[in-house]
Amino acid sequence: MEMSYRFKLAFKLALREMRAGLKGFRIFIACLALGVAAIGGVGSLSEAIKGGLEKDARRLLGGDVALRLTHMPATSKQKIYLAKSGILSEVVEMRAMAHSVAKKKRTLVELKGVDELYPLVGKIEIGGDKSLKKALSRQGGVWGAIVETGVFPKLGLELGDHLRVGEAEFAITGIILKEPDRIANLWSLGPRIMVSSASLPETGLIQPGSQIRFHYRVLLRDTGRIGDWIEGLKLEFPSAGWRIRSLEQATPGLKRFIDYITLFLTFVGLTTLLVGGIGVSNAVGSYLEGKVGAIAISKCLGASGNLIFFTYFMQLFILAGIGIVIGTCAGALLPAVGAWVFNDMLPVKILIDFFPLQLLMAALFGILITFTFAIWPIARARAIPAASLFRDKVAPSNVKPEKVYILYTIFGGVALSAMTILFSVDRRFSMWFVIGAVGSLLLLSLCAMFLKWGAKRLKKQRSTKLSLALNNLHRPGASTNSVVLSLGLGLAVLVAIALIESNLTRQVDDQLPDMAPAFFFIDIQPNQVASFDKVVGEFKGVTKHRRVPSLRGRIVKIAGKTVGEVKIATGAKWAVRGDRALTYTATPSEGTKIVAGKWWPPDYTGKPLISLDANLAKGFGVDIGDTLTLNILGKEIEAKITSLREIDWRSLRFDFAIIFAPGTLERAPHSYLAAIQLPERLEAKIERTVGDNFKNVSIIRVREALKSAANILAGIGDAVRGISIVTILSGLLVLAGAISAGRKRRIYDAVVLKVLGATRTVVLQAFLLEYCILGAATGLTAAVIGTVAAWGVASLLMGIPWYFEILPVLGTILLCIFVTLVAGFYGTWRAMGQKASPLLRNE
Amino acid sequence: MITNLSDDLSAMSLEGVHLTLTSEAGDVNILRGVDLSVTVGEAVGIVGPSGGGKSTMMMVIAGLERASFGTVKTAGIDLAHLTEDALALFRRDNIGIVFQDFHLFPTMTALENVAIPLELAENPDTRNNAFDRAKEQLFSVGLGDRLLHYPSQLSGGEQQRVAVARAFISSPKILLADEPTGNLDGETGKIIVDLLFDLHERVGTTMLLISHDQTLATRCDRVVTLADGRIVDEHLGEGPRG
Repeated sequence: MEMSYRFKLAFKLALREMRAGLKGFRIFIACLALGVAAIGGVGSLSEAIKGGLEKDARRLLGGDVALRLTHMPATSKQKIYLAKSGILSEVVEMRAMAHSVAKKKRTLVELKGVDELYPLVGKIEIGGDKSLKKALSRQGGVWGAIVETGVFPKLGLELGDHLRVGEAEFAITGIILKEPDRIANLWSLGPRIMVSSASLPETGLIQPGSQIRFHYRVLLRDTGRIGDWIEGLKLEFPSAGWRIRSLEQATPGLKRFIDYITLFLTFVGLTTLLVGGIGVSNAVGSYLEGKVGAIAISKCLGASGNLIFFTYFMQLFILAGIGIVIGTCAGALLPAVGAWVFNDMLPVKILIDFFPLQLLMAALFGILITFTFAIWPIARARAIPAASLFRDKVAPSNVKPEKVYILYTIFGGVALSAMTILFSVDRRFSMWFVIGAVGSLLLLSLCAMFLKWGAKRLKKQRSTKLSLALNNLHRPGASTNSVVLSLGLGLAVLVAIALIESNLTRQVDDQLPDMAPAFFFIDIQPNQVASFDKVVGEFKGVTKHRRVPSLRGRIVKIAGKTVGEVKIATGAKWAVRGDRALTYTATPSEGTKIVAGKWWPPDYTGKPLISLDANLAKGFGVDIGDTLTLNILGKEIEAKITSLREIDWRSLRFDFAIIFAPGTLERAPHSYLAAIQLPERLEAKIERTVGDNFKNVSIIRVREALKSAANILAGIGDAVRGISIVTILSGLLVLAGAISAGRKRRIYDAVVLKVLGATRTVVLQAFLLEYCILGAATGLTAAVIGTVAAWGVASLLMGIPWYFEILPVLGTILLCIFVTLVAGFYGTWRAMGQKASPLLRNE
Repeated sequence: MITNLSDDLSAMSLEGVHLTLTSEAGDVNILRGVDLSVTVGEAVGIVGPSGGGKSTMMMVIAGLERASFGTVKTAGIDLAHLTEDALALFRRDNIGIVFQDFHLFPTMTALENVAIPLELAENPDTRNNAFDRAKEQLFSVGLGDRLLHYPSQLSGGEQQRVAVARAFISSPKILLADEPTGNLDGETGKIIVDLLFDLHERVGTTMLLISHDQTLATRCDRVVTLADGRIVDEHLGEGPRG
């Protein structure tokens, strides 16, 4: 029979087989639809948000090109050059303390000074019926300021009240409803206050070396050649030290954040699809079990094994197609749903569009899952001998598919893994996910095997109920494997999320504050150093006080090569993305751990030397004797690495990735940073004391900063947990499928037991005992897998100390027992109600 | 070539055939040295008590089961060396089977059920005419008005007639019928048996008929009694060659 005809015939036979309807395949279709929808939906939503960011890139960037300088403004020559190219707007940003004039309260704010051209792109929305120009103008000798509503409760103020920033007083003239260029800044430490840049000199905060960011936004006259313009700018001012961003890099941080959240959620989607794969395998297996007769007849009539294989393969792929199409459609709708839910939370409008690539990827995952999980049951069907029609009554055939199908299954698994890893933003992380997923499946399979093995060994029990329960766990066709695998994976994800979250919370709540300072003080000016030390030193209760010089610089060359030419490890890229805090010191601070090289002599004042974070050195591929070139205040300084330090960033102890030896930075304008430790009850008092004495000094309460960090983590945790509910749902579907597949046998068992004199209670108890054992074993294995995964993420990935929390684990085991019991009870209760006579007569 | 009968007149021959099946309860010796030869065009009735090995012998002849020991030649072919797929093709080209339980495809109409052996054929012309011939075949068994009915819409007798039409559509050299009336009432059973003998005579097919019913078996040319895996009696029947 020629190949084309064989395919045609297989397709025809597959369609005939499908006339029986979708019965038995609803869960198969639902599992695939759910997994594909999760992956396609997450991918589409992520693209929709990024699309929104790209669409609004000009607005978020504030122009066609944005330049940022730290510490010092652009020179007049630079400003003239920029203004010549189009329209130039200047924005100044810094952290500052705002005080309520009347109520003597203070809070850290994000201060933004804008010129009259602001915003160059987009519109600012102000509550209070005033134009921006009018709202920020000076009225009756007092400058106007518009604020985010967060300022009001912190300072006990209302619209119209006065507040003070530095030395200047401002009247609150409006509320910021929407700031066109504000990107969701997750790590923002305070609410926004916007003032006219003309008012800034009066604050006294513009000091050399202060942590001030000067932004220059340009609307170019010739927007067709932005790249060329940037190249020209670099040639004209090669060492200006500004960070240049064009439309393509308007929101790199946010995009990276979205990419990582997408990666996590895609993992959850993939786990859902894996659970669905078990459902697929179960559904195909039990469907083909009912087709043994039809397959055997076909073989009697002369159908070859290949024809049987192609027939069922096509049928299953047609059915999988239905699930995949449903999932893809649902996934395609997610951006629209996301726009409805998230639009107020995001800085941009979500782009409602169709994202074929993301949906295609999700569909491909669906196809590969179907292939991987369905191939083995179909191969078993192919191997069913024609004699099964007669012989199974005498000697059940032990069907053994050809070994090549093991290779096909492995191929499917490898293709799935390769796709997961290759299309990921973080391949290393994805590789660990694949290893974890495969390991989890193996461990759960082992648990099921062990359970069946144990049940077989223990089956002779005094208690009839226990004997029946154990017997049901290991008999042929038992749902043990399906229940353990399907529920186990979903629950393992839940345990892992719960444990990671509780470890993070513990890290933030319990551990950090013990070691961390209570306050950071920034922008202490050199002329304030002595009095600051005196005020803090005389304050009773301060247990530790450390003050260091601080300024910012950007790494521009590594070992003589520009940053762009160097292959930098993912974990070290953060250091070259923007400005880094720098300091200088003659002697290492207490607790410094030098792992390579030597610290400079205390009296050293020679050529630039630096001590570098050992992890960064590894990520940069540099060692002792190599150089780093930094652009500091527009000047490039090449410094030799003389020592490497191991830094524990989690400790929140004052530390710097790059520390200079004395002799290089002293003459550069800079300010000082200080950190103090003191009991919580004294925090308000010292804040007041420092605030009153040093109005320009910004005070960061570490406790509050950590609290907001914890809130963000909790929010991310909620999002991941929310999506993981889909995995559990998929697990429940598979569980329902497994229980439904065994229902006929269960009803028959119940009827026969009743006929033989077993009471309903005995039968019910036996069935419930079976599910209780199954639930407990699954929950326990899920707990082990979830704990190992959480340990891996916390210890190896996040590098935080590991604590085992019993509650989430116990909760999961109990939840698992509860779910299996409810599902089992439902199935069994219906079996109990079955009348004996019709069933026995049919038999 | 595995599809032609050999030149001699033996449609099937079994020499010293043993069959032992293994189950969890232990080995079961189902055939214990069966010798049987059936000539082309002959109708042989196989009778005997349940568990005597009747169906198993039929399966061995059809290549559905491999003999543990001994030689089986069906349509002149020694089945011992054929693979599972080669055996399927051998059945397609040489054998028609009628089962006690009909074994129709529930998702196919009567017409499709009958056409399927021709759809599986090697020759494109045969495949192209599959549905026309299936229609003729159904008309010939009196089911011309049931072409598009599904098995669940047919009575037991009608289902068995569809099965008979299916067994004969490819004009098999050998017809194996395993208790073809076992699930039918007396009247319907008689109609089916008449149909089988009528087709056997018209087409000249060699027929092996397994039955509990001694009277039915006697309609064949020869009656063989199988008990405890051995042929214990053999006598002529009332068929034209008997």
